[in-house]
Amino acid sequence: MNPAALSTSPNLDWDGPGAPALAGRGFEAKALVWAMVFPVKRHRISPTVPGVFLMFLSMAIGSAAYNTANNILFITLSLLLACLLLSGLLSWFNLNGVCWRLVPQGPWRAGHEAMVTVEVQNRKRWLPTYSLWFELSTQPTRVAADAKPAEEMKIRDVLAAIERLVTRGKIQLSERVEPGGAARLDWLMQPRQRGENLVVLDAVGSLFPFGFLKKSIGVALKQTVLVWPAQVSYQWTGAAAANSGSQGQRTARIGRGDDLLALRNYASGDSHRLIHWKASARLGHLMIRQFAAESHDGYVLRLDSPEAVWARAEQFELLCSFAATMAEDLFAGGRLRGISVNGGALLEIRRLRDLEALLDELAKVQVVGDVAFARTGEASRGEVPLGRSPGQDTPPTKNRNKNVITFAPEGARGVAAYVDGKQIASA
Amino acid sequence: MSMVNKSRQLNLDELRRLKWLLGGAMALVSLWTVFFLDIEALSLVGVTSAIILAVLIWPELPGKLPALIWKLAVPAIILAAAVDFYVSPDTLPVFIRLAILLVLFRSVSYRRKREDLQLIVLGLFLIVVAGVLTVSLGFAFLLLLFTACALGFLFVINLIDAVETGGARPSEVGTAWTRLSGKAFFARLKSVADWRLLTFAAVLFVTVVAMSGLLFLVIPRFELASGFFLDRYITRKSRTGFTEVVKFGSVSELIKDDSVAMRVDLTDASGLREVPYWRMVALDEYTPEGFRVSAQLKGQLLGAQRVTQTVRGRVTPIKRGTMVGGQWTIYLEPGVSRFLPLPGSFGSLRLREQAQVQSTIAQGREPGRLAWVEGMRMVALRTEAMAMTAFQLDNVEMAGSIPDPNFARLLRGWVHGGEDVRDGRNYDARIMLEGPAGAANEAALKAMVAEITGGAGLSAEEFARRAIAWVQRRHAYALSVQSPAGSGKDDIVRWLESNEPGFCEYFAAGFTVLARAAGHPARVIAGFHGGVLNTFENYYMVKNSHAHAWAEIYDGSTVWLRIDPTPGAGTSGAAATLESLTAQQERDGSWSARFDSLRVLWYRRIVNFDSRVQVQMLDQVKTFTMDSSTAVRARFEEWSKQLKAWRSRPWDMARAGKTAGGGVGAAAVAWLMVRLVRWSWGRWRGWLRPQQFDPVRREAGRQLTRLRVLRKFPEGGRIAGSINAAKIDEGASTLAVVVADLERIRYGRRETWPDARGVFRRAKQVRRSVD
Repeated sequence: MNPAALSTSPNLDWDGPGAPALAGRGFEAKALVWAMVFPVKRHRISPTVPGVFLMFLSMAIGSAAYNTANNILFITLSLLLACLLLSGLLSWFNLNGVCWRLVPQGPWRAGHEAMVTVEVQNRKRWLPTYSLWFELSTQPTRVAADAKPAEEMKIRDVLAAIERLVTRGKIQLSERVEPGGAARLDWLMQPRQRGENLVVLDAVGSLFPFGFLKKSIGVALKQTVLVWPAQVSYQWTGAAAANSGSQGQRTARIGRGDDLLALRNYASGDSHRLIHWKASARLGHLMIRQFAAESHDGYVLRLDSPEAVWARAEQFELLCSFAATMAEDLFAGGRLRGISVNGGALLEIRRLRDLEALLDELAKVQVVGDVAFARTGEASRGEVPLGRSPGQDTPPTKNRNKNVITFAPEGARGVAAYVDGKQIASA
Repeated sequence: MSMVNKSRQLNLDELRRLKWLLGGAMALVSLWTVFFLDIEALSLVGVTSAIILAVLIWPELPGKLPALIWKLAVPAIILAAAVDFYVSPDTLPVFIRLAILLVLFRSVSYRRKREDLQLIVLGLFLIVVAGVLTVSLGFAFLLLLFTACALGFLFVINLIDAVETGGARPSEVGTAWTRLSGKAFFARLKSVADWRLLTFAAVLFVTVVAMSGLLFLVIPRFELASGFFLDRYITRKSRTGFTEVVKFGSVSELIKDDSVAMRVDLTDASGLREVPYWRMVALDEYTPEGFRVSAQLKGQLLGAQRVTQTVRGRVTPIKRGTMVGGQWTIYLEPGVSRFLPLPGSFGSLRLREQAQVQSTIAQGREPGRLAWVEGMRMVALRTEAMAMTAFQLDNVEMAGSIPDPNFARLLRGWVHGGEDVRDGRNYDARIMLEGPAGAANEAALKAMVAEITGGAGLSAEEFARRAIAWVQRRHAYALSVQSPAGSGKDDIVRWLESNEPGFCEYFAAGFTVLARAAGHPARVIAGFHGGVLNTFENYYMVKNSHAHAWAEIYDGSTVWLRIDPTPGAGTSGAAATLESLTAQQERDGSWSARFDSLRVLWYRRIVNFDSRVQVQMLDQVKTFTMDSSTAVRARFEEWSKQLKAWRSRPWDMARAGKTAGGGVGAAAVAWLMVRLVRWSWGRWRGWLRPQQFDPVRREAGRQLTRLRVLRKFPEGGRIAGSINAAKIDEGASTLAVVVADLERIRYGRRETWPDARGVFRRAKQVRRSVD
């Protein structure tokens, strides 16, 4: 997941009546009165079932009061109306000075449970805040071609089709937030497809204090999150096809090999055997030795997505998931050298951050026009040298063409991986 | 959810226990309003209250009952209501008893949200019905209590709802909360109570009451009144002696009752020169047991019955000077009588709301026939009112006589024939001449009359004077009467013959039978005599102990004369002096009078509030606002002039010094006041939460607040006040160190504190360097 998508600045992300950006505005009676006459956009107040019943009761008692001129009934009517007013007033008090922000917790992966945290702060000095709920939703920013509603569909069907892509949720603040206090609420959900997803805090609502009125503030606080491709199961059939003993580049990653790779500061829990005493003595604090991983012949993934080859969206999604899963497995085994997407430059994978960047890349990859991929059959079986896009004539360096894994459709639904034209895995 | 700033809060089980408590309290409050209703449900309310109290204390009890009982409870309640409906003569009490049983069922069973709301509605039903039917001050108190409980109840329901939908607990009703120890629960309630929240809740409740009061005043009123419907479904018996039948002794029982029977507001009490006689019912028919309203008079009243709000009184105008009291507003308590007390003749009588009214005063319908009983001067409601009856009288004249020229014609017609009055539909005036029957009675009475008159034919007035003297000579006043033994004669005749003491009924009845025996039409009147002034709110309280009976005698041609033969009660038509009235008023400044004045305020301001009062109030508000703004403007203009004059006076050193000194002094006083308030606030907080009050921490907090402005500029540029980068860094680091130390003192553990004095001194230096 792209970390930039989750970066939050302390003050700017907050939203709500008590958000720091609004804190200096202060109380304006005129604004409050005007808001009662002409409600703020996206602020909605609707009666609940008890509220409707209370209004019905008030009307019945009011009718009886007017018909009989009985002051006891007028008193009762006044009390009921006062309770309704108080309900609105308390609701306003409750939401006043409260702010919230969205913090999606990574990583997000299609088909896996992900978490969004809503942080709530009560910036009031005296009064706590009770019983808020947060309505959240998430939806992909790009819709797959076959998920798009057809033009001839009715509006209702179009809306239903769009709604199917949206995952909605509601989380409740079950304990009060003290004055100056804060709370965190987590929303667990499963993103359905890879790619950029929009996490939206649609509304903040409350039935506080008596449950007569449902107050909802439309928020539309958004955060963009990258969802990595889903993990799929695949069959590894042709490890022997790889060029063992070739002069491929060695991986320079931290591992359990014998070669010293680097030194780092001591951290709690580190083995004392790994302390580099000389360096520690020189620097005045403990340093730990880091060794390089065992060298293996690595693979390079080459992912090309010409539209002519990957015409079926479902199959293309499987390709992305397959490539991501394979990349992770190879990385875990220390055998992933890098990846090239659509003939782009080789992205070398040395550390976890590189792998995450790779997954980010795979989350965003889309089918491209096939102008650049004239020799699609050749490319799909890995017969095109690395660093050269299909159709290019100039070969790159000699050794870079070794152990390149390419992908091609297998049948109507499947995807196969090839090395030098030989199938090594399929999903 | 994880709380960053975890606080003391009630958990779900404790919230459920609190909800149980509030629901029970609400149910009890609503049940207790039935006590005002005076229906046959008091024992039921008592038992129900006891059961609810028991399950409030031991909430696990309902869980121990077999499920079958809960299944059978509702059918049993319905069956009981059906039987009650069949047996009971009134409809409304049946519904009230049904509501009581349902409240009991809902209070003692474990409830979900929907059933909680049912409990509120049932409670509200009981409260409103009781309030509408009784209009008592106690209702207002209980309504406020109910509102507080219901709001708290709804609040807790909402909190429970939030916790349950938050997924923390399953939504089904669990019973784990019933096993909480009551003592531990209350200790927990005490520990989580926050004075700020409690104060806020109290302020909110006051706000609700104020808002509802304001709404009550400003809700537009229209005169759509068509009479209330609930009172048709319930009847009430009079507790007092003012019914159609007044037996000997019934008024004397009332005299021992010191409760207030009615309250009277006068807009102008200055003209009141005599102790008023509150005339309620004229008893025209003699029976050996006492006097009563004759069947034909009741028939006349029934014939005149109609739904109205206003009864027109006197038709012929009277002199302006004879009218007293301005506008009389009379609040008659329920259970006193269906006959309205009248202090004299009046211009019009206006009830608070429309009602079925019986009146002997001509109402325009069949005036010819009704005119025969106009001299009775009686106004009555069809049935005994369940609630306080309020009505207003204007143009009241408190004369001791009632003009009735028609009665002479009527009597002549019935006695001698002619004038077309011998019609079964007309009132038979001869009833006013009938006394004890039988030879022995008649002989005894004849002898007594002869003794009084000396055989002479006396006018009614003269006869009355002598008869009073004769009766009072033979009988003293006493509250306990022993009727002389004997047979063959009626009680009243035996009493007249004896020297036994008596009370007002005996004197009035004795006088009436004597007058009738002498050939003068006479009747007994029951009502009240006198009243005491409540000095707190300036109104008259007429208590049941003021119940009285007197007589009226017809002068033979035009008027009925009021005759009060009871010793000490005033002579025939003789007005008591203002001093005597004042003497009675002085006796009334007790605590009970103070509480009673609250009731009158309730009647005046709330119960009797209508569109006319609303318009008056709006006029008063308008006038007050305009007058106030005018006065304020005038005051400002005056101050402005004074300021200009003061400024234009010549200045010298002494004057300038005095002015400066005054200014400095005022500033010093203001500063001291601020300090005093802060100090008091701190002391109060320390007293309230001694464990949280630490002057050193508070000082650190204060210093941090002062440094807050500087902390917005971490580069420290303002501290250094220079463009020298080194100085900027130095200032920033100094500020950071001071703030860190202050925060440690404010929030950190005491063991980790740096030297507090030193830190405060450095903080001061930092601030000074900025200034």
